[in-house]
Order: sequence, then structure tokens, then C-alpha cells
Amino acid sequence: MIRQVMLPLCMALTVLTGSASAKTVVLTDVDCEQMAAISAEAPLLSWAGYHASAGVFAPVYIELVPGRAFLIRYPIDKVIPPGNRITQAEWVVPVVYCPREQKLLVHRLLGEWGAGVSHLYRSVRPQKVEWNTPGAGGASSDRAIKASAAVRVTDIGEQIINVTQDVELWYSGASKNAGWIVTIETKGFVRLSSPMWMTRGNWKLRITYEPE
Amino acid sequence: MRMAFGLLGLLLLIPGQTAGENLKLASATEGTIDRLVLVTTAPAACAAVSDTAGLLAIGHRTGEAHVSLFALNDQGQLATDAPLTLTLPTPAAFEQKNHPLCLVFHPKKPLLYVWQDVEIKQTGVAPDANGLKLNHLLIYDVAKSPPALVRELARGAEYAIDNQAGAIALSRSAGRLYVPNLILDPAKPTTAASLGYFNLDAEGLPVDADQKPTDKLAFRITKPNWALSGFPCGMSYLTLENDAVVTTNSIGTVTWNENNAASPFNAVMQRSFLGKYYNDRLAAHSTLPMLYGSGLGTNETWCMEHVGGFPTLTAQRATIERASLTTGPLVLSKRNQVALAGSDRVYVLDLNDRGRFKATLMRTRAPKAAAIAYSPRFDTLYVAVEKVK
Repeated sequence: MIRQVMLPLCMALTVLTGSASAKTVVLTDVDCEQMAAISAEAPLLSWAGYHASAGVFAPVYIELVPGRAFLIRYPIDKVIPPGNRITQAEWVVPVVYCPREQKLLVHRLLGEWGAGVSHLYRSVRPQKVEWNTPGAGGASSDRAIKASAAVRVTDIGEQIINVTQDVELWYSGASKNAGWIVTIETKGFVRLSSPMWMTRGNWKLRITYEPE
Repeated sequence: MRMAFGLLGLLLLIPGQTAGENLKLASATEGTIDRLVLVTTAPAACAAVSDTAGLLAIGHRTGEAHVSLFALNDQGQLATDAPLTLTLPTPAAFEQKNHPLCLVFHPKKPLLYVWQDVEIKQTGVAPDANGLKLNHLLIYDVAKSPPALVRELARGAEYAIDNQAGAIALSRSAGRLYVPNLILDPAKPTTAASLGYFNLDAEGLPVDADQKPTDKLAFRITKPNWALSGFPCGMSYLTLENDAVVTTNSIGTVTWNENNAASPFNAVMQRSFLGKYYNDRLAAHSTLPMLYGSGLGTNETWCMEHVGGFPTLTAQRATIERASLTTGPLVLSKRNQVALAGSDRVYVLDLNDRGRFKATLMRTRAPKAAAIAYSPRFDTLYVAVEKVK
């Protein structure tokens, strides 16, 4: 009787705590200094997540359509000390509206981007630097050739994406952390929670690491 | 009235907690702020300084006078305790009390521009028969004593009335004067708002395309605009290079850059949403491409880089413990600091070389401080306070 109770209990405790030295940190969009919602319709804007009315763009949502993208870079190096290895990394993408099935594509961005980032430019300071292909679309130049994830979205809610490999690449230094770009390529749209409007903290990156 | 001249004494370093670059600035004991002039007056609504004319103007929401004008001596101190006062004109038999919402000095000419409105019965409505006669914009020649009203204009169906806030601003070239609280379609007034401007001649007075005096707006936004919805509209105005403008409406910033044909308007919300609308106020760094903002009635201020007025990357937010802000931010350009007032205090935050907040906060007592102004010439911060009973 005791064994019947204790064995599952021990297993449950192991699952919950993992290795005794493993730690999990959660970063959100609030921790990020680099984010943007770029759009071919507003090629010079950093925050063009939603086309609100003629000539008016506002990141009320991150409404992804073909030609629009969301960029985000988490400061992983600030929260995970050296000498560890990444055991798991999950990225929470908050979907707030999806009228019909869409496929979200997640690619690692390549190279620096910064102030004035837009559909046309990686940055405009200290000088203007264009994307190789507008919209950060250059494969192997602006973004990784292969998508890190292709997520089928059918409804609202949190989409959990396994990004362990990407985070490990960044943490190890094998690839420079320039963040991710999220796009869709098929007709239609999907709305994601905006980190630059009323609600924040919905874009979570959960990283579990342990000593090497 | 009294003034106080503070010497730099205690620099209060309050370690801030950081989440990313966001800061929580804790309260501390009172200190003193260098070159701070507290001006005790009737309840203040707005303030402005003219380094050219050597004047400090304070607009009052209540009291006998609408505007108090203090001459400054060559040290930037009040030359006299007794200001000249202005009573703003209203139409005959006008029942609602009028008061100034914003004061702006011309950078070179001895002109004071005053934007006025009336006490609120219902926010931002189309003017009635009496309201149609109210001139919102008053232009005074402050070289004369007493100051002379040289122009009064901005009246009629396109100007919403009963607004609690509204700002005016001169373009960088002083060739335009931007005005707030316009009704998008005066023929069918709704909550759809608009903004516009007057063209000014070399003397700082409104003119038409033929350089003749006019009381008509040179331009008004006439297309429905999602970012301009409800009143007040244009509670702060920042004018940048190439006639780019950043203003405010229900939430956050609204950038209006007519040089960007594809996307001239961009609305972004930088602050935390704490249940309040129509309370954003702005400032711009004098040399760095940085915007600063705060929400009146909140304890939060923010800064964000911009390109041509369009916000980019992310905002840095700083919350000030136990503060309830009554003013927007004000950049103290000579000191690379930002000042704000609220909760009977003046707060000063240091900026780093990128124009972002450091985790340092100074504060000093300033009873019911509700209007602040800064003189780059004298590197002096003026704060309108009320007499402590």
C-alpha cells in the first residue's frame, strides 16, 4: 500500500523538480529592448502591427499578414550565467484571433538590427543599413534558411514552441543572438497579442538550464 | 508669493530595481535641487519661459487673473514678486468660466500665444451659439506694458469646446502654430477629432497663402483618422525636424509626419495601461532622438527612441514610488535630466548619454505643483506651487 503510494509520489516529485541543480527562468517582452512589428505597407515604421485606418498604423495587435512580421530579441545572456547548458526552451506565442487555420513561421534572425528597424531597414543609426531583402526576408542573409518552427494555428490561445535548439545555439555562441522573426506566408491573417499596447508580458520564453 | 532658490546639496541615489531596463524608483527623504525656483501663485494649469523676452508666464485655472507674467533678472530669478496679469477675453454674456490650457512664447519675437477653453460641462463638444464666439487663440505682444492683445482667433464650428487639456506648439522654423481639439467634420460633429495649424509670417502672426492676416487654419486633417478619436485631442505637441509632429490622444503617442506618404500616422502606447485615458503628456530631448512621456494621475514615466518622430524599439519605463503625477515630463537640457511634478513634489531623473533613465531620483517639496517650465539660458527650473495653508 505504501509502495503503491510512495513510488508514484516520488516520480511526480522528480518530474516537478527535475535535477536538483536545474533552474528555469522566464523572460517576457517586458525584458526585451529589441522588438518591432514591420510591414510592407508602412515600410519605414518600426511599429506597424495593425493598419488601423488609411495611413494610420498602430500596434494594437500584431496582425500578421503576408508582408508583415514581428521581430523580437530576448536578452538571454543577461539571465543565464556561463558554464551551463540549456536543457529546454519553450516560447509562448499569444494568439488572440485566428479566423481560419494559419501556419506561423519562426526563423532566427541573422545580423544586427536596431533603431529605426523597419520593412526596409535593419537600422538607420548610426547609418542606414538595409535588409538584404525587404522585410528581413533574405534567406541566409537576413534570416536562417530553415525555419526553427512552423506552427499550425487554428484557434486563440498560447502556442508553445520548442526553441531549445535556437536558444542553445545563442547561449553557446555558435550563433549570434539576433532574435526571431515571425511571419505567415499564406493568405489571411492571424492576430497576436501586442507588447506595445495595453497588455504586456504575454510573450514568454521559458528556459531551463543546468550546470555542464 | 515667495520663491526659493535651491543649492545643489544632497544627491539622493536611490538604487532602483530593474526588469530589463525598466526602473522602479523608490522614495527617499527630501533633498534640494539646484537652480530651482518655486513660484507661489493661484492654482496653475500651465507655464512657459521666454529666454528672449526674459519672462516666466503661468496660466491659472482659477483665481482672479488668467495669466501671471513675471519678469526675470539676469540671473534667471524673478525680478519682482508682483507679476503683470492678463485676463483673457470671452464673448459677452458667456456663462462658463474660461481659462488657459497652454502658453507658448515665440522663440525670437516678444509674443505670447495663449490657448484657452472653458470649464467643462461635457468634454469636447461642438460649440453652441455662445461657444462659436469664443476665440481659443490669443496672441499678446509682451514687449508692451501692459502686454497688448494683438490677435484673437480660432473660433467657430471646427473648434471643440469644453476640453480639459489642449496644447499649442510652434514648428521648429516658427512658420506654423499647431492647435488642438478640432472637430473632424464640423457639419456633422461627432467624437471624431482632428488637428491642424496656422501658418505664421516672420513676425509670428497668422497669415494666409498670400501672406495676408487671416484667422483661418492653413491646414486641418479632414480624413477620418483612427488615431484621433475623442477629446481632448492634442494634449501635448512636440514639433521636430521637417515638420514632423508627435502628439497625444486617448492613449500613447500619435506621430504625424507628412513626409512619410505611405504611413504618415503612427500611434504607439508606451506606458502601462492603468485604466486611464486622455492623460498622456510628452517632451522631447533637445539633441538626442528621444521621446519622454508620463500619464497624469499615474506614477509612471517613460522614454523611447524615435526616427522622424516614429517610435522605434522599446520604451523604458520608470515608476516613482508613491507619486501621482500632475505634469508631463520636462527635459532640462543643460543638465541632461527630466523633471516632473506631482504629489506635492518635484522629481528629477538623470539621463545617460543615450538619453535613457538612470536609476537615480531626486525630489523636493513643491506644494500642489501643477505646472513647470525650464530656461535653457539660465538652466533654471520654475515650478508653480500653491501657498500652504
